[in-house]
Amino acid sequence: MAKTLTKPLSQLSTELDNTRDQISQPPLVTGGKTFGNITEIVARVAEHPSAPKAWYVAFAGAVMLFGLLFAMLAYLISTGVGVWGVNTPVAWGFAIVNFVFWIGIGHAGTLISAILYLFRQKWRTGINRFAEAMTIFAVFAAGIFPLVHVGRVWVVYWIFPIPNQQQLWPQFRSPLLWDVFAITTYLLTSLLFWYMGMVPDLATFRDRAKTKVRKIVYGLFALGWRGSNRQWIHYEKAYLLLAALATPLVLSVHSVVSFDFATSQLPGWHTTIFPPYFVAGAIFGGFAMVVFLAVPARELFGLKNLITLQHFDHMNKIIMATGMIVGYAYAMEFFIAWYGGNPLETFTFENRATGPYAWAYWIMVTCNVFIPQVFWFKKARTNLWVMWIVSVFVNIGMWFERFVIVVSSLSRDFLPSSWDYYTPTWVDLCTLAGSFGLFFFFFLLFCRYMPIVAIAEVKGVLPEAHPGHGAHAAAEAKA
Amino acid sequence: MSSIKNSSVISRKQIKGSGRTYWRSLNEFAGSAEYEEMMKREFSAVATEAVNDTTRRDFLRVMGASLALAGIGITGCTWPREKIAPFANRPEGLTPGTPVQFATTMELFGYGTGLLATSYDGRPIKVDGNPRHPASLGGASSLHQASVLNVYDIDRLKSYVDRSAGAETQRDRSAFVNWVENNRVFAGDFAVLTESSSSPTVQALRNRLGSRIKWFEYEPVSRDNEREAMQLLFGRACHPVMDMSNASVVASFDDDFLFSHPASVMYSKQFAAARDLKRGAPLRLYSFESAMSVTGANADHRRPLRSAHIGAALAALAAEIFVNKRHPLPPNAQNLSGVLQQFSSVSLDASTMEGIKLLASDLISLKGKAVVTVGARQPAPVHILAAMINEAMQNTGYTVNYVEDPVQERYSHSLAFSELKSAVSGGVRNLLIIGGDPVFNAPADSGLVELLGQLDNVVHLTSHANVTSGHAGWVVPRAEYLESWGDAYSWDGSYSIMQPLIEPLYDGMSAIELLALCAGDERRAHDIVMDTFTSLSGSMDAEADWRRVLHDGVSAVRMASHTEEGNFSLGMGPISSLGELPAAQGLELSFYPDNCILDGRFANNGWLQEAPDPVTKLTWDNAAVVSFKDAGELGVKDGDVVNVAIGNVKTQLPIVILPGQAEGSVSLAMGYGQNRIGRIADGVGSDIFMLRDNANPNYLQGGALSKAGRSMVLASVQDHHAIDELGAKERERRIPTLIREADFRYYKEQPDFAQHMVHEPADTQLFVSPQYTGHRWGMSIDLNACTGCGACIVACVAENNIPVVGKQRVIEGRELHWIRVDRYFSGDVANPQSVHMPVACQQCENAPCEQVCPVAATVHSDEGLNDMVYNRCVGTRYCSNNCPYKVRRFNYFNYQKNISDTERLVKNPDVTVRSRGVMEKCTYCVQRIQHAKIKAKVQGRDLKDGEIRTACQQTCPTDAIVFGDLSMPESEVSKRHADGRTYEILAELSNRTRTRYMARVRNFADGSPELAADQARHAGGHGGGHGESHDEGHGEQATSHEAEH
Repeated sequence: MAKTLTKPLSQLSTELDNTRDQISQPPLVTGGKTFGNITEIVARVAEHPSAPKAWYVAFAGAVMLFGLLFAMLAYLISTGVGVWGVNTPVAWGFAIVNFVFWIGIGHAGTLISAILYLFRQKWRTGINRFAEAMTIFAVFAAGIFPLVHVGRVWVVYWIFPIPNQQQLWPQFRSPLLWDVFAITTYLLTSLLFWYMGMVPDLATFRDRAKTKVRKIVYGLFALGWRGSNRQWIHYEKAYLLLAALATPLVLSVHSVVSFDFATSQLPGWHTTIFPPYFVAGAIFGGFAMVVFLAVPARELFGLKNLITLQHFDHMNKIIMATGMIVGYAYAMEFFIAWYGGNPLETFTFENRATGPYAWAYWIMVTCNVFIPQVFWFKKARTNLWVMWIVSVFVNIGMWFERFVIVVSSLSRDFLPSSWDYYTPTWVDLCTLAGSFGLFFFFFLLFCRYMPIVAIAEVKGVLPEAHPGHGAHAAAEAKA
Repeated sequence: MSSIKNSSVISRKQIKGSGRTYWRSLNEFAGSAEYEEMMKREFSAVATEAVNDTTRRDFLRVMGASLALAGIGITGCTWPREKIAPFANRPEGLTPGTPVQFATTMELFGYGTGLLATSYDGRPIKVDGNPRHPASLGGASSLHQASVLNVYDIDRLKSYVDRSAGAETQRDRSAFVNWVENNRVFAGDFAVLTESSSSPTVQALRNRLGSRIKWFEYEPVSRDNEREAMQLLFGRACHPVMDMSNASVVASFDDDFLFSHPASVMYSKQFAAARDLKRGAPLRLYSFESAMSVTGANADHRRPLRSAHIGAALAALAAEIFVNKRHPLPPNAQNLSGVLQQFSSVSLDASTMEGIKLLASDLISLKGKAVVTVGARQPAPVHILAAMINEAMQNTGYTVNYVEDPVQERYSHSLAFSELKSAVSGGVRNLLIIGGDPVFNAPADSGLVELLGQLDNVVHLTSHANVTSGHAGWVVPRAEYLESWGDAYSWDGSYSIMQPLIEPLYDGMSAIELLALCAGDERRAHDIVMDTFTSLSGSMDAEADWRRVLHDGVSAVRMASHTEEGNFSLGMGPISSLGELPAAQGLELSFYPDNCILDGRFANNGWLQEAPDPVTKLTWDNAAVVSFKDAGELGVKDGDVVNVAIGNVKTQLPIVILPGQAEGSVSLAMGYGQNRIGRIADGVGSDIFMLRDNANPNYLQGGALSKAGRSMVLASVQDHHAIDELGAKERERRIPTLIREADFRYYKEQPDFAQHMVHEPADTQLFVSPQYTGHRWGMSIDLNACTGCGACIVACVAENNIPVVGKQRVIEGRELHWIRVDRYFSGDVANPQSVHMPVACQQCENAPCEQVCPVAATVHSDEGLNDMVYNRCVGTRYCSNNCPYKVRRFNYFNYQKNISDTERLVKNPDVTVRSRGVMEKCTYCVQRIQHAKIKAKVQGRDLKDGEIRTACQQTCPTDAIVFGDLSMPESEVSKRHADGRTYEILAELSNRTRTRYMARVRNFADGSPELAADQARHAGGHGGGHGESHDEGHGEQATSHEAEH
């Protein structure tokens, strides 16, 4: 034990290709790990006296960026929205782009934990915990923007339906109000789902805790979990119900976000394809972010046996599939613009691809449609470097997708006299960087102090968890 | 007045501390010791905190004065002079907080325009045209509108600056008066260098000084060429006054009579009336000019050519009429036939010659119904020839009259400096400079600086300490026209009084007061002006007449008008030179008064700096305006800085490429590049005055442009970003759907053509449409009348407390104007058609902005107004994104933060001042609607049509804008909405706008290429009316549209 504790975490696991076994169901946990091993692997991340050096470096960076975000917001709130590049035709800029981007990122976690759970996709167990964490923190990052982008931050609470003596209510026809409901519901459900799933693992941490502080903190959050059969029965039921509740939210939240655009009159926004297109895009971007985070995390924290190449293989397939849905949506937008015969819309799309923002459009298409095509090749799907680089591109591409939708449509609307070009200011850029700081600040803390893999669930997919199941399967295969 | 004398109560006190200023009633403190104490304390505190500003005390006094005088009826405030104290009891007839209007007169270009100034508790806050005054007829230009801001300019000269003893000291009025009297400065011979003024009182004072005074006039822009020509023809100084009311054709040779002209408002009114389709065929306007002016932009036939070729074009016209068409010459122009014969060899480019031929046929066939007008920049012979053509075409007395100039005896502006020089060498030691900044804006070879150095005493009366002030021994703050008594003649010859509304904020003097001081005239300005009026009117009951004239703002006194034939035989010598085209060596540099700040006198006026140039749409800058061809040859694009050189003199300006700019001619606007005026003017634009010389103050040949190797971003309110080919093509496609126009012939066939140019799907609604049972406010904007002058923009700024955001913010696309005038060009870039479209909130019934606001900050009133609730707005800006017209404006910063107390005085108290983070937009001047409704209710009657006029409507010099109640079938706006020309922009969005546009109807000459192009556009009759939309994959919709009919 003492020896393993001093050894860097990254050297404690081994890479094994479990994607090749085509005949029987390949193991989701490699390296012949036992229940005890799994607890050990996950718990020692939080119990290890020191984190990997890279963690400290990353955390320092995140703290600095987070501080930058605070500085930018302070400047913004004290001075006015004018510190950004927004202007009269383009009244929404980076803030809304970042908002939609982060909400999209926040999509994958609940999708992995809820929908894949309902579909009995067992490979989700290795990645669901930190994908959910990613969701929560991405929604944090996203949630800042609609609040601070308004002109008068100090009265932003007016958009909530708070009873008041003047009987002034929000305007329920506004999609921005729907956003408020959709996002708060999504955040609360995701948070609950994440936390509930974590209770048995927190109890494990509590039980293993050596210090008083740990005992108290983990004990508090473990809610008195003892792992009794009765508790497990209630837990499983509640988890299933929450999964069922979260599933429609996965679809609704980004659909509602897309209504901000789809219900407006603006060519380039006013289109019925947006809800499915946004959802597909969000899954696409969310999975890319999971890959982006998982590749270094499993390396640093010694999780190679729990988050295996098979997991990545699956995720990369989803990335490619959703990438093609997104590509289809891009093509369909153009088709409808032409087929619809509305000259204003035709122009908007011509303008997207060849106008002043063509550069952004082609970055988007390249990153989202062309680059993920490498995942047709299994070599690419199972090569950590390739998938990590692709995931970076996909994230860039998805950010630009929102940029293209928001900015290029607004910059050239109905009356040519109003046309203008939007250029972000340094405050815009620093705020975007700062939002990454916020995200990574929380995410890195999570990695360091929380069960980053769902211990109980991973144990559930070990062959040992299903006595006789393995033999049964082997017999079936023979038959 | 007894109520004033007895008043012992102050009703206002300033409470400092919270960072805001509160005014509240202090009646309870009346006469008490506490009150006395408070008065003392507060005054000293304020006096120390605002060293160089108007103190609150000054203002209180001034305001009290104005209130007092408003109370006794019609007069302004510097007479009678009483001890001023605020009211204890309300004077009869005065309700505090109720605006009062006074008639007054503002002089521009040396001629007056009658105005109505609105005073709110003693401070003028708004200026509008005086409907009774013939030069205004109710309209006002952007300059008039903005003039009220000059009163509250914080950079005004605030004290009497004394440098007579060497070191500079700040003195007061009595110190100056003592200096003048003790030193007997003006007791002997002295010279006056003044801005042009038509004031007969000034002339009376000048006459009173007699031979002691040498009188010189100088302004960068003068009408002396015209004067010289008329002097030759008629033997006395006079000027042509057009009457377009019965005209069918107007031909402008470099004359921007709709904008840069002393009578622009009057002419705009006439022009719009003459284009009114109820009258029949609209007036046809020809324009020959180098830079696109507002007039040229409204021409049916415009031909761009160098300024120096205008004379030749007119010569070619004369040759076409008198030689080719053999039209007889007027009797006393017979000796000109030889010269005219020579003119037949004049050959300009084919397009110009074609325009000349069309014009010649029109002039001959429409005798007595046409007029040729020549711009003041053109030399005298061109004016002579134009007068001769007008005479021969029997237009004199019908479409043009000659009105005598108010000032008969003076040197021309170009002679002013040389004559001043000889006066100085003749022994004149003292000089009084009235207004202006001649050291800055005189031609380079004027030698004024050396001259000033030779004088003993130079006194400069000026609103701002400027370059010239730096050379003066005494600098005297000048009272604005709203602060002083005066009088003026208008271009049409009518006489009106300048009446003050407020005491001079900084104890300034008017020209009349200063001249009276020089003349030793002890009377007050009011009495002097009244005496002038009495002697001019020859009235029996001077007092009653005086009061009536003050009230009406117009009098029966007029300058004489002539219709007799001029002595054209004298013109032979001068005009013989017109046939020769100046050798086209290098580029022509052509100098214009700026469309916003004139010759620079309004440079420190933020409203005008931010008002876009009507043609280039540029704000906060001047530029070298060049044609596409010249820009291509030089290899420059918009914003590239170039060296503009003539000989060894050069300056740097950014390039603006303008369609319709004459090739080979570079237009340069005057008035910029100042650096001693104030915080608005300084450092804005480039000075071009050094390029001019005395012989060629208007344009000269042999200029050169070269790249300076850098570029800058121009603060243009349109085309913010350089447009690519794709955007340009799309813009071209959209213009006909937005601004619908047709030739008059097509309009006669198809009076509702405008309603069939765009396919509009059935108006289906998701939400239940509200039912309107009361008023339904609506607006109609007649694009056939709108000239694009932009007076509405400044009127709206003044009425609605719209802040000035500054150059950088305009560059960023954050200007706050509630109404803008979109300007589009179509056709050939070398000679395009241009169109203007004022766009403010369209007040949609089915407003897209309302549906997306999450907090219901923009909501519908039961009268159909799209109301903006500033208090409720959180600033999501979603409404702006969803507004197809992009008329919503956002306060990106707190633009009200750094406004001094003085600047606050110009704010309209009826309109909320918006702070940071809220959206704002046109309200249809809801405050005016409410005022009128309350008034009608108090009087127990219904609102009358036309009772409510929005600020833009009120000032519009062409009456293009009409506001009213759509639920009244007989209202003007209802009638206009029912007209076949009325259409809704972007009607396909089913927003149901309350503001509708009326299509423009042109009247192209038979056989002109413009007519052919228009016919091609509308070819195929009704179906063709869909325009280019057919070609853009729109076939199916067009077909279904056909089926609908």
